[in-house]
Amino acid sequence: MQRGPTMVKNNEKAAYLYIAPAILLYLVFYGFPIVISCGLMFFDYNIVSAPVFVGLDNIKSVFSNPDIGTVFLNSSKLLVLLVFSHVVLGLALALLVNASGKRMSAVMQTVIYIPTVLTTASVGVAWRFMFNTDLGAINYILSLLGLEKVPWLTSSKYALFAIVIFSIWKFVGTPFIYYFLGLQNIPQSLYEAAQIDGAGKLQIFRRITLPMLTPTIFMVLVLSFISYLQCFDEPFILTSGGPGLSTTTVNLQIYNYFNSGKMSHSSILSIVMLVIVIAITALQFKMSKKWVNYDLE
Amino acid sequence: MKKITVGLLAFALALVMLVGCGAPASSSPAADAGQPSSDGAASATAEQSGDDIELTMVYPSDPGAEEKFDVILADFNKEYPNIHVNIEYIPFTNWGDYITKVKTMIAGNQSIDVIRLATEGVHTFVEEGLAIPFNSFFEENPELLEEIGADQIHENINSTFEVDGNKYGLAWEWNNAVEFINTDLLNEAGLDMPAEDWTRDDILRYAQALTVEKNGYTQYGIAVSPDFFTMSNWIYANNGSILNEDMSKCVLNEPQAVEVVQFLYDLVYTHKVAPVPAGLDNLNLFMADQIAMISYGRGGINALHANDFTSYDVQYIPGQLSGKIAFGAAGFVALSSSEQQEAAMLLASWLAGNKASQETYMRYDSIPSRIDVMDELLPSMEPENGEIWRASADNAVPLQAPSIYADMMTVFDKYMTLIFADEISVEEGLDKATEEINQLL
Repeated sequence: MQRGPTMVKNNEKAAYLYIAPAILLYLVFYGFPIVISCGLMFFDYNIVSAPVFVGLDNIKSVFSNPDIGTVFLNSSKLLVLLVFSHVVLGLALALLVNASGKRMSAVMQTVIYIPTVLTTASVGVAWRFMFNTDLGAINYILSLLGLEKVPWLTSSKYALFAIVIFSIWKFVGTPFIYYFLGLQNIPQSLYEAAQIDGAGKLQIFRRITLPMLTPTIFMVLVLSFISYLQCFDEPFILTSGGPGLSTTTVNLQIYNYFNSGKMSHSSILSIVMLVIVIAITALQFKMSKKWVNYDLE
Repeated sequence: MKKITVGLLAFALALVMLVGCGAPASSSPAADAGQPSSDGAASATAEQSGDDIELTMVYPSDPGAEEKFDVILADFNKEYPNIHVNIEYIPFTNWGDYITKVKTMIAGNQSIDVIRLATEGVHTFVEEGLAIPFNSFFEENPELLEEIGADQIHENINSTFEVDGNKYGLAWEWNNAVEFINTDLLNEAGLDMPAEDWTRDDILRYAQALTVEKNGYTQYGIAVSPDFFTMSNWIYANNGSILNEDMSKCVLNEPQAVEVVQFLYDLVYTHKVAPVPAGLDNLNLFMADQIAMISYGRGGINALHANDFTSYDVQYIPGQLSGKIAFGAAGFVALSSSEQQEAAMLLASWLAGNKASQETYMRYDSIPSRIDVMDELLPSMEPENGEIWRASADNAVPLQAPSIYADMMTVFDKYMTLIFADEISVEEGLDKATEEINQLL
């Protein structure tokens, strides 16, 4: 049956109606708070008294805080370390598991993914103890190997790395699963043809596996950037942002402002982060046209 | 057509959900900041009117809290059967988060009449007009005060709830920090329990004797806790302070405070009798015989009792006997947003002063605020030297918690973590902390 213009129009109306509840919920729980936050930037507001208009005073206060540079730098360092480690390690683990036998693969998938489903707070407390310089298990093992104890959580030099180590253990399961499923979806016929043509393992990885995985890699990159730009859980639980400010991220600072009753300051940083996330994501999508291959055959 | 109908139904359902999620209709927080909304003399008391009154109280969801309050409120209702109390338990991690949660509930127009509040939040709630003074209520209800035995609540402990001459509630419980000592490890080292007037030199000597290598691990003599509460206790014991008397200036870099922080730093890095204080659960390590002495509040005996750990005793932190003893107290505060302020103040007062609840629930918990209960419980219960808690009430000075407490904590923790990470000297750290806290004040 051919579709006339009226039928297409009706289908469009129906489609809009179907997505309207989701859009409405999004507007109420995301859109509206974003608009309110944009407004709150210019008011003093502690949530129990009426907002008082202060113009640009709070914005000046946030950006003239001598600690703000450190906070953004911490977030940037963690972003680079966490994205790189999760993207690369997730892929390495997926390749390893994909190459193993069926039974071993099932076991390894479980072992790698289990930490992801555990409550971050509860395992974070355990890791905080494991990282202790004098009484923690990690330094005990290092001492058995004849190595020096590392002040994991009590040194500005090492605290970020402690967070990265914990984060890898806890969250690498997610990119791993994405990559693993991506690898499973690569047609075997491509590998068979390559083997017939005499391609080596490295050539197969570079010419078949990687290009076919680019959509998955792109997705992992986008999600990782969005997630780790807003890193909060790991520094909050392991170090509370210390020692000093060495692991205080932007999101942790937003939380600190909120707890101090400085809703305006929280809003300012939240909007800044929103703009940064949107900009980075847009750039990633633009650049993806050059290297992401959606052609599966 | 069918698709459009289904789509319309889905849209309507979403709208109904959103309306249902909206805040319940209730009055906005009281316009008169911090003032009772009714004249105590003119309105009938909750008891006399006989009308049913519903009150909502917010309380931290500590283990056993629900069972505890089922019993306490059953007793309350024997005297006041017309006042029905609904308790909303909220997760508690620290006072800052708890206060933020309560303020969010108030801002969301949730009807709350009474909350549990501690020293850390009293000034904030008073300055933001969220708490109401009990002065008129107390003046007009002397028989209630006599009935609950309010005069038994230790004056020093109650001072937490007094701001600028107004009383905002009564204290129910309190805590300071004293030194918990593992008596098994003490005996192994051939040491006697230290005297109450022991000095910092004495505690260092004890810590050195108690720091030994055992089966491949180090048993440490003492733990250092650089949190605000514990550090305040050590600093106060040296007649120092964090802020000056009217809390208008930070004095953390004065010699008495610097001397104590330097001593604690030296325990970790110079004498190496204390582990680096990060990520440690001192109480569990104490029970595991890995740390022989820890500074802790009486609330810690709950875990010790639950784990059948009895090989411990307590002693003053060096200097506390002759110096000041920092404490924090908790009680119940009536909110200015309450529509039943008389009944709220009655409930808050009754709960704080109730002797039976203190006798029952503070056996293995914080220190009771009533003198008669302290006199009865503390000498008769573990640990052996527990009466120091009663005695310490007489030297007790409330923790300094101005309305900028949350910001002050952030600065304090920032520099204490740097000091105990050995990345900044004690003097420089305390100077910088003082400067930043003064900017906040």
